[in-house]
Amino acid sequence: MNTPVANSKEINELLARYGVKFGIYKNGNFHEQLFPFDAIPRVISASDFSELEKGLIQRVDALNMFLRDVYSDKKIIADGVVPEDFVYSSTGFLQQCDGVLPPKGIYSHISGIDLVQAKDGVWYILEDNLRIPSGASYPLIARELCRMTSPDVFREAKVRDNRNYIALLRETMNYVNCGGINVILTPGRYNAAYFEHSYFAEKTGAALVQNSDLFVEDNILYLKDYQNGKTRVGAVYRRISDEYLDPLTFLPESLIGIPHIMDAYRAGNVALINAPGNGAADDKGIYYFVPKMIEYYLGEKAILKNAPTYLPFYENDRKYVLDNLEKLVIKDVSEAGGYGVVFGSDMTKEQLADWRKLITEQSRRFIAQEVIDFIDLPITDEQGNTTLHKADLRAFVLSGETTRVWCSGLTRFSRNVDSFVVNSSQGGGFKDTWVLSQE
Amino acid sequence: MKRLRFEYSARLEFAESVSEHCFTLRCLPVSDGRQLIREPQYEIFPLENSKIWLSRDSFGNTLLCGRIPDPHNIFSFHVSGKAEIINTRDISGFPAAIYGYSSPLAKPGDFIRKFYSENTPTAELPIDRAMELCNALYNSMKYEKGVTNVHTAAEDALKLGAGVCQDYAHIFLALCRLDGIRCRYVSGLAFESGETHAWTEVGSGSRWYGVDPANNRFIGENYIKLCHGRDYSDCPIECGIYLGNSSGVQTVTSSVAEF
Amino acid sequence: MGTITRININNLFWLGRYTERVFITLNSFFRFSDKIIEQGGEFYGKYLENISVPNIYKNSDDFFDRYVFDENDPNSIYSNLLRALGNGIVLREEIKTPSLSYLQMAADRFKSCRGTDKIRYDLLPVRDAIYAFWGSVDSNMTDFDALKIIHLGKSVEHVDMSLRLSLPEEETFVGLQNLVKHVERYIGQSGCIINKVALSALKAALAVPEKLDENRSALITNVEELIEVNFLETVAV
Repeated sequence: MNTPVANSKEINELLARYGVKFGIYKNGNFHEQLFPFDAIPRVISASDFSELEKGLIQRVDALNMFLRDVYSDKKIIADGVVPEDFVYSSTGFLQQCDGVLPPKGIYSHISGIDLVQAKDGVWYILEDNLRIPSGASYPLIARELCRMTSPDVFREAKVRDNRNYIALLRETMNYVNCGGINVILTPGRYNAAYFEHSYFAEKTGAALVQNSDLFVEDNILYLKDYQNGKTRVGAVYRRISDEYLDPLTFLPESLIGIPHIMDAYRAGNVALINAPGNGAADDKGIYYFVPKMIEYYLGEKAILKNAPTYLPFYENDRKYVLDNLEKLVIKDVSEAGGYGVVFGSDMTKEQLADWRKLITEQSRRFIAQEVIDFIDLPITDEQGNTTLHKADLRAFVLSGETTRVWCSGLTRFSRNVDSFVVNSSQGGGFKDTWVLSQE
Repeated sequence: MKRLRFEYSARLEFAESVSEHCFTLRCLPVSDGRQLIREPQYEIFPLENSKIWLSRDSFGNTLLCGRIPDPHNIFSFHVSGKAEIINTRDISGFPAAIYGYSSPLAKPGDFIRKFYSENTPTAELPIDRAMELCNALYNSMKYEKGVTNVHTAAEDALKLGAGVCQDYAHIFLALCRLDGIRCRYVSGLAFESGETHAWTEVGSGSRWYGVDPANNRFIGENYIKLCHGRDYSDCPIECGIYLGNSSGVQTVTSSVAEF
Repeated sequence: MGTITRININNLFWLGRYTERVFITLNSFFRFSDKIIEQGGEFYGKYLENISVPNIYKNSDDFFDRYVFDENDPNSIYSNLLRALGNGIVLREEIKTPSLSYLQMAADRFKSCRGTDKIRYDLLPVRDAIYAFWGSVDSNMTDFDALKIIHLGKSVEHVDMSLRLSLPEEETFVGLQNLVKHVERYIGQSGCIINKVALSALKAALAVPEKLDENRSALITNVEELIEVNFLETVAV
């Protein structure tokens, strides 16, 4: 079903009107860009989605159990399922969080799971984002606008309403709240996702704050108001990364953090959404072990597949990677956002040799994956022609009292027809994601 | 058993006043298998409108936390108490696999790797191997003040061939971890008067041994541990952040005496 | 929700001021550009002098282009609108998305009609958007205190600009009266610091309306100093 909901131009004009933008730094200067919207939706059938839903809930539950385990008893290491080295030498594992049980035992409250669909229809997990996955606001607001411009289309197509995201987010914050108000902590106006921070604050009723609005006393987090009064904060949906969160625990040079917020968190007096230290589970190296985790913790086979992945850390895998480098994609485990990804097929002979050497020397640093031939989605260009582009899907999974999958997602497509990279920080645009309510 | 009385105080003076001062101090020693701490006391200045409270980090250190919102030019604190050195097996924090992995200030580079390959120990037990490394290090370093600072990494200090107790400790930790030995960094009090000292603890046979690389020996009975971590950056005795344009001038005094 | 932080106060106040500045300067510019149909555009220097904007323009065409549309000219009407928008962007959750969208639409309008030969007609939607903005903040904002601070900024700017632009005495008088009333009625508990000396000077001026005109420059100073919004900005480790 390729029903465009309206022409893309109308929706893009409305998106501009509502200031739906993301920031980007080019040559050291801050620019705001519109995130181009394409009107042809990605359509997911009811049965496909129900399968995805089961698989995503299973995966996120297992990831949460893994985080709880590695920050407490570490049974999965003792039982030899995940090698110790992959936990402790991961930059995402924070010793400062060891032994801390977050409120209600939830680590990843908002998980952004990136998937692609192969040409044969099978969905593959590309990566898990358990730190501060962004992007839900774009399809959310786009749907609102599409319903305004093309009511007839929605009357006919049985599309599940996705506008409950705000309610899901609010319920998640309330569920883990330790007493006090909810706040959204933004690094500020010049953050790439500032629009999203302010939009969620407006819609959920949480206060949008920056570090200097907050302080800690007696291991309790407070919001300062303008009259020097204070209000207790029970949950922080924080949009700043772990290492900047608390200058007295992590990077001392952080000017966007809140001193002692980690003490309040360790004392169980405030929920941090998502919990610090989640990088231990969304590391590109740990990705390899997720299906094993699902079996280990849940005693079930993984419903959703990983892309076939090799760890050069293991000798057999290393041999395979070195022998087949030209057809694999190599990812640096410490990089995020579409950076540190290289394709063997793009390399010259010399580059292949250099990479073989690097992979041999730093085997823990890289993973290699088979390139999945995923389906292209049609995009209408400015002239009204349709071209095919690579696209992925970021599914949002919210963990509160129960684990729920948002019946929509962020479908991002590559800027260039032949590019595999669909990250918004590297150009490209997005589509609405329709989940049908019946076949 | 030895009975000790200890004191530690520091005073920070700012040329221009500062406010919104938040700090974390790791100078309240904790009882463990080796030391029993009695009657610990602390005082903080300025106290008016300030909030002081206790917390604990994931390494097991006690944290003295505080927030001083009002403008002030002087910040000082004083800690005192008594300790009994009982020297039973110290197993705090075991199994502690994390202490086997390299950490920011004790990361081996080419220099440390080369040093290790030239001085690979021959003994069997981890603690004996560690002492071999300690000895080799002691013989190739020169104790010298002012050539390094608290942020100097192990690799750079070894390249320099000189440094203070903290640098000895970091290089030693990097060497031990290359050898597969779990070990951690310790800050504490060890002298009758003067500054604080840095040493290490080496895990062997499911317990910790205190090793003082700067003096090439096991720690003595007059050592009082204040805190530990993977390296200095995990457990600075004092860290703070404040609003203002001046950096403070610090004076520290400490003492440990038998009684 | 009702939690205004200290940083927000500043933004609320300046959002009100810049939005009103754009509105008033746009109106006075409209009047001016009507006059030049008969009088010719060359007396723009006089116009700038009245509103104490430095004359950096090469000629009347340059003035009509840059003073209105140039975002790199700090005194342009568009620059002031961008400042209003900048303050609005960090207040989305307070003023709500629809209010912000009107400022965005006004800015987009400036951008799209630069170079026009019927400037008043083409910029009418900007005025409409500002009217809509005020309607939107009044009906959508849930925090009464925050709303009052935006209106305080608007009121301060209104009097300030009336004095600078030498608007009719009566208009200035009414604006000043409203400002004093607003400050006394609502601003006491708002967290803004009121300069009491400036406030009594303004009240004294209201007692002798016939002297408003001769006291213009002193009054401008008093209005500028009436509200102190400040917060600490320097951070050192």
